[in-house]
Amino acid sequence: MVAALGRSQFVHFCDDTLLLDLSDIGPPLCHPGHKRLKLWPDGAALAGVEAGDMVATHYAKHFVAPPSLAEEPLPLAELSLLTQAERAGFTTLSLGERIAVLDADHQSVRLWLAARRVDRAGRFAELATLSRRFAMTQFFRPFSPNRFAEGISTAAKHILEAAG
Amino acid sequence: MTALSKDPARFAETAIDGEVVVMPLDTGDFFSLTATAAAIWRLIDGTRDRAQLLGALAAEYGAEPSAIAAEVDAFLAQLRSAGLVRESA
Repeated sequence: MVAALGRSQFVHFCDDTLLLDLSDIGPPLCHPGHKRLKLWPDGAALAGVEAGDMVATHYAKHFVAPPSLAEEPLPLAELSLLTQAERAGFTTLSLGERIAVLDADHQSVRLWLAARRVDRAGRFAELATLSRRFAMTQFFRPFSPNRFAEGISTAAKHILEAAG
Repeated sequence: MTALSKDPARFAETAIDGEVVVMPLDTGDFFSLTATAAAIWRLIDGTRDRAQLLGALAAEYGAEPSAIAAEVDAFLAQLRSAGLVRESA
């Protein structure tokens, strides 16, 4: 998706890993990614980008050069959770859903909470505060390759609307 | 009068846009309260007994107290069971 969005009108910011600075108030600050974009051959074909050098002889992913790279940090406007669905679209998460998502096992927010050394009530307060610092949505899209474009166009439209 | 009150030492809460999220401190589980559940939670402030709470909620939603009593009682039972609400004279 990142490669396909980068092919259209969006600057490549990161893939897989997003570095967040949560130290200030207001929206967390996102730092442009340090990892090179890598795709399987079928992913590159689907995104319509040229597959470059192989990552390793025993690992068939290919490096892909994004058309343009972001260089400056940007405030996080929205966090969207990707979910497989029959139709592409976005829904806004409620406060309870936002807190639950931030508290989920796979979220690296646990590292942040551990560093804050808070008890259970403190954790709840931190998550409640963090959940208010940016919008959160669920992004639904079909995972079928022949409907890939549907998800991309929905995401692109949503990003542009969110950016105002 | 047996007033319904919360035990603030047993939970943490936060609210936005009419939604209240409550976390009992002993379990760490979250409860999301919206609409009438959030209204009931807000009306439990230590000054109302069950009948007064029913009356206030019925007035707020334009309903007869008898029509909403069963659902309110069920929700109050859940809150008591979770240790979030108690009755005091």
